[in-house]
Amino acid sequence: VITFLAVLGGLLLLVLGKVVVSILSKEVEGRLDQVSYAILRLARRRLPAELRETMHDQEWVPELNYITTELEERPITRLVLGLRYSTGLLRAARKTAREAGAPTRWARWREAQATAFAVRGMRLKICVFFMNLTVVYFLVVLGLLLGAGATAALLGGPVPALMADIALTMIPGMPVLMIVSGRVFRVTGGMAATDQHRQLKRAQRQR
Amino acid sequence: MAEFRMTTTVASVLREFLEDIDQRQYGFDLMRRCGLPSGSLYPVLARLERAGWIVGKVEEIDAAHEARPARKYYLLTGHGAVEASRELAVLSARLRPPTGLLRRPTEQGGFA
Repeated sequence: VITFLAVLGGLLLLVLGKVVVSILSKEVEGRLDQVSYAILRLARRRLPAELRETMHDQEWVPELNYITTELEERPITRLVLGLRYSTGLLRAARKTAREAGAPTRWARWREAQATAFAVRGMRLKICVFFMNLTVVYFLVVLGLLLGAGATAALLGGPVPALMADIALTMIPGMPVLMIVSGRVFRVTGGMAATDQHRQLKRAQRQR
Repeated sequence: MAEFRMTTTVASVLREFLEDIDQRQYGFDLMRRCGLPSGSLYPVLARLERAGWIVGKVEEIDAAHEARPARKYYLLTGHGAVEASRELAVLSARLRPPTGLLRRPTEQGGFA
């Protein structure tokens, strides 16, 4: 009786083990298939909003579905094909959009800028000018300091000292420029203008 | 109609379309037949569609009944067929080796 029960128990364990392994392998298989879809969703984010439905939803996803459900039975081959398909599109999403006639990001930015300028007019132009002036001033000082260090290390001579002198002379101008920019922002209502500018650009990106 | 840039990749895709003008061409099948990755094929398809050489359509199926989403396929347009044949002929003529190189190479390294 004990031997019979042991054999029966063993058989039950074997069957149970097979069921568990089968469930687990299906679970892993399903998860692996989702990786390609996740990559494709990343590619979707690289597309302009107006092309996401036609390219990703109507074309890429059904094609990936065909690869993962109808084309290939073997899970590893299916995974490789799906990954190759989705990573290729992740890489080329922007190029595909450009070829389809979508404007580049730079063109979109320029368009948003033009709209914002049209809405806020001269006030925003003055603010943007001062913002750009401040940024350029900072970059020049930083460039001179870094350049002085690099030239001193590589060449030596009087040039690094001259560059450092110019940078040090320019440093007091930085807080002055920041204060002036702050005043300009206050006088022209620049904060409100830049906020609206930002909102317009966001709205245009989402369109 | 957009300006068109012909490359060997575009030519290989067009050749597949010209094999059977009425044949529906699906993205993944084209990838396999042309030996192109998706990142190269889809920009080409977008360019061809924008130029009006091919037209993309979505399958008219009952997705619930078929248990799969409708796939998008492409067909060559009449204008595309004419232009593609002409451009392939031009490209073929341009890539043909010069007649001077048609001599047979000898074992010693020269030409017969």
